[in-house]
Amino acid sequence: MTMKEKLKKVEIFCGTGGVGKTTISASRALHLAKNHKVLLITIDPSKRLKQVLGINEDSSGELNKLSVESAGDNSPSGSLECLLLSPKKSFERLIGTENKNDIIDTLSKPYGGMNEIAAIIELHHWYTLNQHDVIILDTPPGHHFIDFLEATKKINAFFDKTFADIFIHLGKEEGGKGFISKLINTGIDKLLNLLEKVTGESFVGEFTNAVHILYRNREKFVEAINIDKILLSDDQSSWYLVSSLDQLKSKDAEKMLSSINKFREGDSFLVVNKSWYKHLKDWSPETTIQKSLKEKLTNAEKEILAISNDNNVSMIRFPEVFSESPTEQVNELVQSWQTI
Amino acid sequence: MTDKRLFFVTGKGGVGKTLTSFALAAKLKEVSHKKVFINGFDQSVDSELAKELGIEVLDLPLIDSTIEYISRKIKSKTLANWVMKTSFFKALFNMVPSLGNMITFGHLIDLLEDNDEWIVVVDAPSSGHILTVLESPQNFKNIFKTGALVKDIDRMLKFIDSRLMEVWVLSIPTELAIVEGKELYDKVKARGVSHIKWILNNSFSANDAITSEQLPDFLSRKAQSEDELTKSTINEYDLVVPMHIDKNSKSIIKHIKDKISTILD
Repeated sequence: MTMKEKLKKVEIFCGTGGVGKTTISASRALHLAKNHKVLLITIDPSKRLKQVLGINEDSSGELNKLSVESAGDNSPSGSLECLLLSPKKSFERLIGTENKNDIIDTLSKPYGGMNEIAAIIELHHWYTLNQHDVIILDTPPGHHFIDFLEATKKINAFFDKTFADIFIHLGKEEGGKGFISKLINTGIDKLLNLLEKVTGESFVGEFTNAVHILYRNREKFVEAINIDKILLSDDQSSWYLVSSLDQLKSKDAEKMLSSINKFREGDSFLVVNKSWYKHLKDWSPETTIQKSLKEKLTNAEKEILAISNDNNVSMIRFPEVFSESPTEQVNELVQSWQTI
Repeated sequence: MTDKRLFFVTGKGGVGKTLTSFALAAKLKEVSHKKVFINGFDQSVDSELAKELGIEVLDLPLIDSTIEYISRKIKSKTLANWVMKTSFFKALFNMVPSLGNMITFGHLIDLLEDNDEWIVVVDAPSSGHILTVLESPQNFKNIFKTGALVKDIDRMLKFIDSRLMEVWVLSIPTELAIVEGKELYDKVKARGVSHIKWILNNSFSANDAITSEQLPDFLSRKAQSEDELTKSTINEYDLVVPMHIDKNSKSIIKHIKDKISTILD
């Protein structure tokens, strides 16, 4: 397997959710942290990482330092820091706290729907600071893993030239008055009048103000999406598509692998969690029920292997860990990373 | 027979939302004289499977919903089309997915209020994301403050709280799925939903035919660890659906369908 190759600066873990993605990425972070300075960022809205790693939700948006056991006696070089993503704090760092705006505040709440964009901002921020050997990003689950691939495109479209031109001079002006008059001059007032009919007057004011704040900080957003180059670069990043055998639907895996292959060329790994293939191989069932159970379970494994072969993606299997506590599960998985 | 008109089936990824949604729609079709639809919210539904089961698909693509919504508000389809074509609005919708979520949700409720004879089962987005959907009306109410849209939002909030809507939270017997299911149940409740059911799906240890067999070590450990995991919550589920050994979707749907009749009220 190609994993022995040099460490990439960024590792992205994505998947369909409910497959142990958070646990797998946490275990990867703990594994690498034995010899490297690691930052783990999670943007999972349910913040399960706190449960797995025992961190406090109050500290979201800030780095939490974790104690890591070093590999061997003489390698105290490793460290692990964790960041629970807080869209509010990410936006505040970019646009400051003096710009109060209800719309921006509401949308940057944990369930406001801006997690992917905040993740891009954070990833760019910490990558640029260059304090870590590797940054591991645990992306949101679900079909919405594709949202993450498209987050930079979304930011780009929002600040796209076609209408950015309207706002481009606004950075030089103070306050909102010049902004409004500019809008009126460009015919966008018609649009806003329509909007006002639907949404009410106070919204339009708040909305133009929000756009104003965002556009004043346009360069910072546009700079953040430079992280795209890193995400696309084979030298700089690897992608791990995490799935688990008890939940993986082959259709989902197929969709995931083909979208990642469209997005970039380079190292991508299909991580299959809770795999039973070793156990199944050793089992000789006797009764009909046993036989059909083995067939069901074995077929599921075979289908996934076929899909990863078809898509030229290496498959990494993690055996199911029978353990009560998430902490123990993580520790077992750390062991597994070592043997890969 | 149920008086519910809108069902949201949710839970973590991979807990069986899609098959359970189909099973629920098929069951409703059997017991109710109303017209039963299945909807995938912001995802498309497996229309072939729906056809095989004789369930109608209600597809609400976001752009269409939005144009319809805006044209109703400004009373002009032409203008609504024009608004949606501007790159500004396109970008805004991409940037703020919760706005689209609210419009899709609002459109669903509009349709149900206009068509008394409809029941819609939504194969809903998974955990985290469903909270964004359910929270979106309140969030946008805070944003818009006044105006026509707020009246609409109030209507939506009333619907969420009413007897007409029910949310099914699914878990499977893994620690995270159970913890997250419980958390989700509480949060859905906190978002104003009054009727919620919690279902434990795909329980290996609840399949008596399997567990009465002589199982190899790794499978008896699985059954055992499931029992231990569910010990403290087992009385809180409205229903436990045993794992079904079959690869065929239709056969699994039938299996779930037969189980769920006890919890339709």
